[in-house]
Amino acid sequence: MLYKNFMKLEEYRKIKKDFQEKYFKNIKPNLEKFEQERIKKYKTYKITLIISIILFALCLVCLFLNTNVFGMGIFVIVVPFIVKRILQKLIEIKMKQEFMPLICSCFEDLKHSDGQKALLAQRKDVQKLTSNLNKNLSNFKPFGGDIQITLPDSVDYSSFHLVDRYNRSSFDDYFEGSYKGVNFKIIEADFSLETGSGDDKHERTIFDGIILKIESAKDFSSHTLIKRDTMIKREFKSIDGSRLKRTELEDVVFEKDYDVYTNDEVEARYLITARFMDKFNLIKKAFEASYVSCVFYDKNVYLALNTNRDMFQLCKLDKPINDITMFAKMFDEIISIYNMIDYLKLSK
Amino acid sequence: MGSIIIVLICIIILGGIIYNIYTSVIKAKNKVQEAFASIDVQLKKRYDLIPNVLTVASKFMEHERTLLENLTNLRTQAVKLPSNLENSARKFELENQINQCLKNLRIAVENYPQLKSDQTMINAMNTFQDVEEHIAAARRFYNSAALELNNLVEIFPSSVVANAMNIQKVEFFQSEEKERRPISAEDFLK
Repeated sequence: MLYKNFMKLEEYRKIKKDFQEKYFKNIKPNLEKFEQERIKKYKTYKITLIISIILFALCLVCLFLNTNVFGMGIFVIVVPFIVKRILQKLIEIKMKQEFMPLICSCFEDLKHSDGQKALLAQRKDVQKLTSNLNKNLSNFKPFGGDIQITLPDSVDYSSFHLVDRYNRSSFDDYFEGSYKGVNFKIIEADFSLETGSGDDKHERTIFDGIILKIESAKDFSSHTLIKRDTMIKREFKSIDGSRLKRTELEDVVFEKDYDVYTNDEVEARYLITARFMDKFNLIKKAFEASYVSCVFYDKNVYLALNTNRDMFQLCKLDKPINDITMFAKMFDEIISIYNMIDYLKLSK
Repeated sequence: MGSIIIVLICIIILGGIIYNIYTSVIKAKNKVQEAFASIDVQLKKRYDLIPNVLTVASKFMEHERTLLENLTNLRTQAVKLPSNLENSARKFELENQINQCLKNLRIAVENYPQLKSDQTMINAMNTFQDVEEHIAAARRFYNSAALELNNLVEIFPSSVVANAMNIQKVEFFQSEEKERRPISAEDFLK
């Protein structure tokens, strides 16, 4: 019941009623075909699981007979999980294509797309555009080389310290919208850092969760970070080169969980008010995030909620689809984002 | 020879500790000055806004002359006051009075619908709100810096270093007695 704490109750009721109506009228009747497909795919998964268990048992027997099949054994046991994930994703993509526009229509100006697809399409368009430009301007190279265009959404979130340094990224759900005149983006992302090469290659997950980008209603020029509290106090530098100093806020409970770094102590206190801290903790709870980072930078508020799970999920392979729980959970997650925006808007 | 080395090591360690305390005290003192200056910057924004509000308000608020004059006087006094830490107590007192006057002005504006709907007044009041939030933030920053310095000035062994350097405790930017009093419903129902 997080939303009741801050969103206007009538507003919430209106959106919820709309959502329930759409669910029972347009979504629920169409779930049966997906349920049939899920059952089929679940059977496929079970068969794969049985085969892999048999093969694993065979591998164990081979191990006793001194045949080196350890690698094969590991591979065999991992396969069903990969198959399960792929099969689940296949149904989910179809479901999202059909139902997401309906769910989004319950909210004021909200659009959904597949993040990876959107990014790839954008990348293709930009590549086409740059190659055309370079072809047409083959004799005109004022900067001594080909034109390079930066993708608008391939933002390096580590450059302003929202997340730690990463070199591999993948995107899933992507929402874009506007609420009460405040533009926002919700990006489901997975960042990791790959180090070493060849046999010494390691990949470490840096972030797995949701990034919220909300246009700030408050006017500010500083760079302020909220990071989870760590034993070792870190040094951060803003993009302009200024040092981000650690500042201690007056709220003891918040200070215990988070460290604040800024290049303007007054502005940091202006932005991080007691109410903001409250909303910050509520959004963390709503998403069941293991930790949250926040950055106030370039007139935007960025929130990185590390959830370590697939967000905005509409189905699970081993659970019946005709259950409102998954939809209700997704609805509540979007509502909590709207509440955060509502607070930021109100604080104008 | 051995004892000389031990004494030397002790002196170096002691010197290091004293230097560390000395730098902490100086850093805390400078932080208070920085915080005080940031309050000043925000207050300056408010002083600059007051004449605009008064110009608009005086056109409509014939019966609030005393309030407007009082606000003008307080502003003049605050602007004239040199901004340094020695005057902090007087500055904070004036600020609390200006704050009270502005609150009264906001209440009075409610009785003048024409003034309330005046676009210049609406803009000025919105800017005021923003400046007030900045002042509150600067005030919290100052108080946190003041607490850090006051702790160093009062707690041993840094108190010895602070005394030797003639660094004194600084005033906190406190809210007015009236603001701290618990709200009584009776006051509103009179």
